[in-house]
Amino acid sequence: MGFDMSQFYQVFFDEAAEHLESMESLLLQIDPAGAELEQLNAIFRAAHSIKGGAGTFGFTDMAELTHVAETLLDRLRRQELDIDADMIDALLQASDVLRSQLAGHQAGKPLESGDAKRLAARLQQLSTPPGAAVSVAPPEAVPVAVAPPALQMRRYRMRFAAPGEQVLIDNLIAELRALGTIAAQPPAATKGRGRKAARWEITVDTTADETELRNLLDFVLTPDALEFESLGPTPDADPAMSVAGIVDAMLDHDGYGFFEPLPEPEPDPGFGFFDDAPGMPVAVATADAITAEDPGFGFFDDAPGVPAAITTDPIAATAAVVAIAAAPHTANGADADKAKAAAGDSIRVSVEKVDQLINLVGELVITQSILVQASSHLDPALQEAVSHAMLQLERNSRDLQEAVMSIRMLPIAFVFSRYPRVVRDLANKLGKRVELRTVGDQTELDKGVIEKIADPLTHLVRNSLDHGLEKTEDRIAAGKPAVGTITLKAFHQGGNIVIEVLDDGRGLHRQKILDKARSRGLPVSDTMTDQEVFQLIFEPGFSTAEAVTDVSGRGVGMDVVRRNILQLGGRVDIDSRPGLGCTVSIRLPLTLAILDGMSVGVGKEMYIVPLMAVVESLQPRPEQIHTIAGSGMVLRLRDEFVPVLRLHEAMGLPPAERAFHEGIMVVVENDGMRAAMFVDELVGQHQVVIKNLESNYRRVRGISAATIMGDGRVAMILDVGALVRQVANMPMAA
Amino acid sequence: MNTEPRADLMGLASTTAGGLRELLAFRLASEEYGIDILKVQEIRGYDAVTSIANAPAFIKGVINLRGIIVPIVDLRIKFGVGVPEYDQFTVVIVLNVGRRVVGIVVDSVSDVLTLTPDEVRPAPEFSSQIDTACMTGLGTIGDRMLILLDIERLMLSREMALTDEPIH
Repeated sequence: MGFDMSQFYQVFFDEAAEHLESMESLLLQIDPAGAELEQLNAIFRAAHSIKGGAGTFGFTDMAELTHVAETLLDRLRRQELDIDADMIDALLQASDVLRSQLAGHQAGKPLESGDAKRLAARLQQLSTPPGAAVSVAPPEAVPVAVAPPALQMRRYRMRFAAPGEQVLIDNLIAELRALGTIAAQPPAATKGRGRKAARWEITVDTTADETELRNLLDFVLTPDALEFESLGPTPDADPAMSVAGIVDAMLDHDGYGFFEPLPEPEPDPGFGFFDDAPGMPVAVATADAITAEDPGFGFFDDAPGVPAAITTDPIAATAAVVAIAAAPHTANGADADKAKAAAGDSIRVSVEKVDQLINLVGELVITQSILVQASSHLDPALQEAVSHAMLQLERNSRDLQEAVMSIRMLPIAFVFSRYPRVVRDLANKLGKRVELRTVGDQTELDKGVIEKIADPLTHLVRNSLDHGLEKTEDRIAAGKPAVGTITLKAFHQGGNIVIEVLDDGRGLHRQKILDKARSRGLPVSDTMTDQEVFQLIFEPGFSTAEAVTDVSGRGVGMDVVRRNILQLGGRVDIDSRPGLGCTVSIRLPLTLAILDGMSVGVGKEMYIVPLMAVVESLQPRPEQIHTIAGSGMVLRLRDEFVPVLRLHEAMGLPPAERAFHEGIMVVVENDGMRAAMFVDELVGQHQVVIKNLESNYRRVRGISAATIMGDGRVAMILDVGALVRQVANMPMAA
Repeated sequence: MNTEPRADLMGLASTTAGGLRELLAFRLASEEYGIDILKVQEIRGYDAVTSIANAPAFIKGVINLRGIIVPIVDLRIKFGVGVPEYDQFTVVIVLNVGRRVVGIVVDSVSDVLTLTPDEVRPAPEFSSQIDTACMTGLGTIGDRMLILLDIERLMLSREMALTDEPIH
């Protein structure tokens, strides 16, 4: 181990971070009432891998903490202890501390913190049931290097059922051989038949202590499948001989000498595996090959420091893959695969560069549409060639734009994934039982938005949990399920992404909010709609806590949430039903996004209708238009009556000069509601760059954003959702 | 006149070393106004304004200023002075106020001038279209009288309806 390990540090950092992540998410999945053995095993494996790596690289603080955590996990998965919420807490804290330790090492400044020691003590205490003593071995990490040379050799015998996959056994044997001298007795079996459920017997002479051996075995075997016996000091062992020496000797040796037949306990004395090459299982040879290549890293999960061992050695690589497939819980495997893929197929680029690219492409698209407009007046004979090239240019720049935009898009799972922990911690603190559900994790949105939406969303989630959901006993009294539900939901709607935080709690109290607003001197009246009343909780200094539950807030108000969202060009709406719950929906534009729009002319103005909202456009026949109560209009569209929205009116323009049948009806749909927008003409279809109207102006009802047209003029992009709602709520005799 | 209000007046405009303030003077009909020159980004002609739905009459709409959407306010309509005419001589002063960009339509820009503290008088109390809180004083140079505006405060005020959350 004389070579420089630091070149592999980054690999360890990445892998450890992944293991920590999977540990945390697994811990959060565990139900204290009945943890599944497989989950515990998976967590144990993650912890073990971190410990192994940390030991290898000499990060002893991490190795020590993982070691105690591992001890606890080990007892849990052996079912010597029953997992409880306390333990999950402690383990989660351990993963936090490990993460900060990792960050410390990564920054080159190892963390000196009492937290780790306190936590280690707590974990140790948790893993020690009354009356039982737990031996705390030093981190095993690299046994060859760290084990003191003059330890007492001891002999252990273990019998176990074969774990099913031959590679697991091979790996185990390889590991054991790294610790000392072993004698392995494969299970007796009739030739040509599987050896499942047959028992292996292995005797090991080693300086390693029992815990270490057990750890190794536990990695492969379920605890109940194992019989473990300590046979005391090895007879005839040379105590002065170092383990390293043994390993060296072993490597020099042809290897087979160690496999001495044991006194045969099984009734098949003629089965001479190890004396006899044809009878020798291929697997043992494989194990040998691995061991000979790299005694320290034959087992895949211990390899974080030397990924080359996995990737360059086909046998070991196969072993790793098969072992992963064999492990019923594939979390580690998936992570490892991901890490490999990430390392090979991606590059890291600064966001700045990407943004610059996006801006340039945005400018290019504007220039392209200016060109399209300019060339539309050209001589038709000449235009043929030009227009062909223009079409090509348009297609290419559209593709280019899509490709560039997609660079910045990430699934919202990046944000959602942090909430299970937030919810769990807060629910514990508040003594509430909460289930968090997420819907639409894979909805993509801009990276910049992801970063900025996390804090407001956290606030909303905490708010729902703290003030929205009732205490368990209140829920039961109200006839609701004892466990409250918070749902995080993300989906695309038109050019927006909508993120909803739903709870099934008590809902907002309209009267309390009104009272509170009055006492603060805000202009309110009893005739305000619920929507308007609920919006009041976003006023500065108007904490939901005071308004709704009389529990004081935490200083970060809903006004900050709204301000953050407005800054992103989005908006927040609240819907609430007393006793049934509350829904906060955040509607965000996909920033910088390009919108496919249809431009419509209304009077002298031009507006953009998001193409996604357009169902159809038609020039209505006079008999298709009906009035209701004098002025309300509906358009008969086949079997359906669709309310008519006169865009002139909605946009405050002079009334239309044309009769309905001379103009165009653009049928739009949002949220399942339809309306027919009456416009003067259809102008064309464009891709437009969304420009935020709010950065220098304010939000305008019915307008979602602005854009710059080919001629340099500004055109408004219609907020079809708001317009459709407006027409739906409009009194028919307006 | 004591020094107390004068110090207060000076705080609202950019002051040079000697307590001088640099102003951009513009005309609305026969009235002359002065605003802090540091708030002015550029001066341009008036063209291609896109109207905004349901905006007050003094908000003419928005323009495209090199890719930025900038709202345009006609101060003549807002203050009720002069006749709002739009021709090739109509001038838009583009302002930078509180990280926002806003354009104001005026009849003409006269000059850039420097006022000494002695040339600034406090604004008298009277009722007008302008919130007196946005008027920082009256400047006198010879026969000229300038109405000094805290243009940032004015533009971000609730009555201008330019922002969702008025700062003042």
